[in-house]
Amino acid sequence: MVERRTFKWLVLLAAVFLLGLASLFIGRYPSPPWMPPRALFSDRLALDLVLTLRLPRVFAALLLGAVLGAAGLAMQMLFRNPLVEPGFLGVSQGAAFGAALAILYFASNPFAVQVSAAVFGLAALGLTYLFARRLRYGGWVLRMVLAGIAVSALFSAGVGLLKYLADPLTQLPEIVFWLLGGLWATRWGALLSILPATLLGLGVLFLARWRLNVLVLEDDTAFALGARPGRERALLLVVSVVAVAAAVSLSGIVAWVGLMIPHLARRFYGVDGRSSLPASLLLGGAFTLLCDDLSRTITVGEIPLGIITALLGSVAFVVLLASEGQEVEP
Amino acid sequence: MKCRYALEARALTYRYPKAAAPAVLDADLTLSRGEVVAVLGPNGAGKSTLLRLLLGFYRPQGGEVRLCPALGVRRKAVAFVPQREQTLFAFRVAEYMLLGRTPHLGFLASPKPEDLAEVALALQKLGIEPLADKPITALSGGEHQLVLIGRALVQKAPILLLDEPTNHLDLGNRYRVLTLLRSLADEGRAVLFTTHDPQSAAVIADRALLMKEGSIIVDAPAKEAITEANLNQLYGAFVRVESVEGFTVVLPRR
Repeated sequence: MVERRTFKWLVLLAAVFLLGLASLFIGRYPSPPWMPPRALFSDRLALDLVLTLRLPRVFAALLLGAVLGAAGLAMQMLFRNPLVEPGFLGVSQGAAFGAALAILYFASNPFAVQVSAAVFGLAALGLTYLFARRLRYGGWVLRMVLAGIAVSALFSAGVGLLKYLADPLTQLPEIVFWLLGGLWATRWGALLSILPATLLGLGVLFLARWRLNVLVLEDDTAFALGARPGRERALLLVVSVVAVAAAVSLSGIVAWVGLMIPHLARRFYGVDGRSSLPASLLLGGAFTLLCDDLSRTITVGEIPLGIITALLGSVAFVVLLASEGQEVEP
Repeated sequence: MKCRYALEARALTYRYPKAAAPAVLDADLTLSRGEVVAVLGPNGAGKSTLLRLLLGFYRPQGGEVRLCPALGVRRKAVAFVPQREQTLFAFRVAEYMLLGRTPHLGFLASPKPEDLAEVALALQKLGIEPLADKPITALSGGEHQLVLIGRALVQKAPILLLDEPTNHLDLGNRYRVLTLLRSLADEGRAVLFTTHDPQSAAVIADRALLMKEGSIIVDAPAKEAITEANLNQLYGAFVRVESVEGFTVVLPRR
C-alpha cells in the first residue's frame, strides 16, 4: 500500500520533469514537431532559442499551471464547493479589463499590460469583498459568490466597451489574443516579475495543505477545533488570488485548469489536502505545459493556450465526472 | 485547583441580529464530569443556540460561560459533535477523524505518527476499524454519527457537546449511540446533548433541562424532569409517562 502511494508520486514527479525537458525540444524550429538535442551544440540559433525563449516559457507554463491548480484546489476547499475556480470572484474579468485598458491607453507596453492586469484583478477581488459585506442575503460563501458574479459582469461589460472603442486593426486583435490566453510573449524578465507573488502563494498553500481540511468543515465545527475559520479562509483566499492575479497578468485568461485539475488530483491522490494540494500543483503544471507545447506546435501560427486548455480541460472534466468513483454527490 | 463543575453558565442571553425575541434567555446550567445532561425541547426552543453559546462560538449579549481552568484551553477541553455534516468532499474516515487533532497542532503543522495512533485507538474503541478507508460520503447515518463522535474522542476533550446526536437514526443506531454516550460519561467525561425526543433523554440522562422559547423552564434529575405535566407543557401535546421496570417510558395518550 505504502509502496503504491510512493510509486504514484514518483510517476507524477518524473512525468513533470520529463515533460519539462522534452518541451525544450518540442517546437517548429528547425522543423516541426521537434528539434534533435544535438542541434544545441551545432546550431547557434537553436541554443539561443532554447535559452531565451523556450526555457523561460517552459518555466512560465509550469508555474502558471501550478498556481491555477493549487489555487483552484484551495478555493474549492475554502468555499466548500467543488465547482469553484480561481477566476471567479471577479479576478479573471478584472484582469482582462486591466489588460485591455493598458492595450488601449498605454500603447500595449507588455510591462504596463501585466501590471494593469494584476492591479485590476486584485481590485476586482477587493470590490467583490466589499459588495459581499454589504449584501444582506445568505451566508458568507453565498454572498461572496453572488458578489463575484456581479463584479465579473461589471468588468466584462467594461471589457466589451473597451473592445468597442479599440482600433479594429491594431488594438482589437491584441485584446482578443490576451483574452484567449497565451505565453508567447514570455521572456526571463516577465517570468522573474511574477516569481515573488506566485512562489509566495504556492509556498503558503503548500504549508497550509492540512489546514485546508479543517476549513472544509462548518464554521462552528472548525471553531470548536481551535481554528478561526473566517480569518483563516480570508488569509488563504487572498494569498491564492494574489498568486493567480500575478500569473494571469503574464498569460492572459487560461480557463479550466483551476476547475478541472483539482478534480483530477482528488481522484487519483485522495481528497485530503496533504495529497490533493501537491498533486494539483504538479498536475496543473504538467497539464498547462502540455497544452502550451501543443499550442505552439500544431499550427504555424500559435493557437492561443486558453483555447487548448478549455478544449482538453472541459473534455477531461466531463470524462472525470461521468466515470465511476466521482466524489461529487448528485 | 479543583472546580465544582466542568462547565458552568450563568444568565446566558443571546439574540440573533435583527431577531425580535432572544433565542436564549437568562439560561443557567452546570455540567460535571461523569454526568450526562440532556437539553430537551421542541424545534426552535433554542437548544442549538445554547450549545453554540456553551461552545463559545456565539458571544452571549448577557451572562457568561465558565470553563474549569484545570481542563486547559477551550479547544482542548470542549469537543463539539454537530449533526450530520453535509460535505461534497469524500474524505476517508480515518482522515476525517484525524481532524480532531487540530487543537493539538499549529496553524501550518501537519499531523504526526502519534496523531495517527490516536485515530487508530478511537476507531478500535468504537468498533469501526473496517470503516477506516471508506469515504465519508458512503456512510450510513449511524456510521456517520459514530465517526463524528470518533473525531471528538481523537480531540481528547473531557467535555462533549452534541447537537441532536440521535436525529435521523434508526432504532438500533439510536440506542447504540445513546449507550456509547453513557459509557463515555461513565469513563469521566462530561456529556451534554440536545434532543427533541424525551425518550432518548430518559434512557441515559442523569439530568434533563427542558427548554421552551429560549428559557430553561425545568432543570432536574431526568426522572423528575420528564413527567406528563412538563412534557405536555413543553410540546403542547398529550403524552403519558409510565415507569416500566424502573425505566421511564413516554407514550401517546389515548
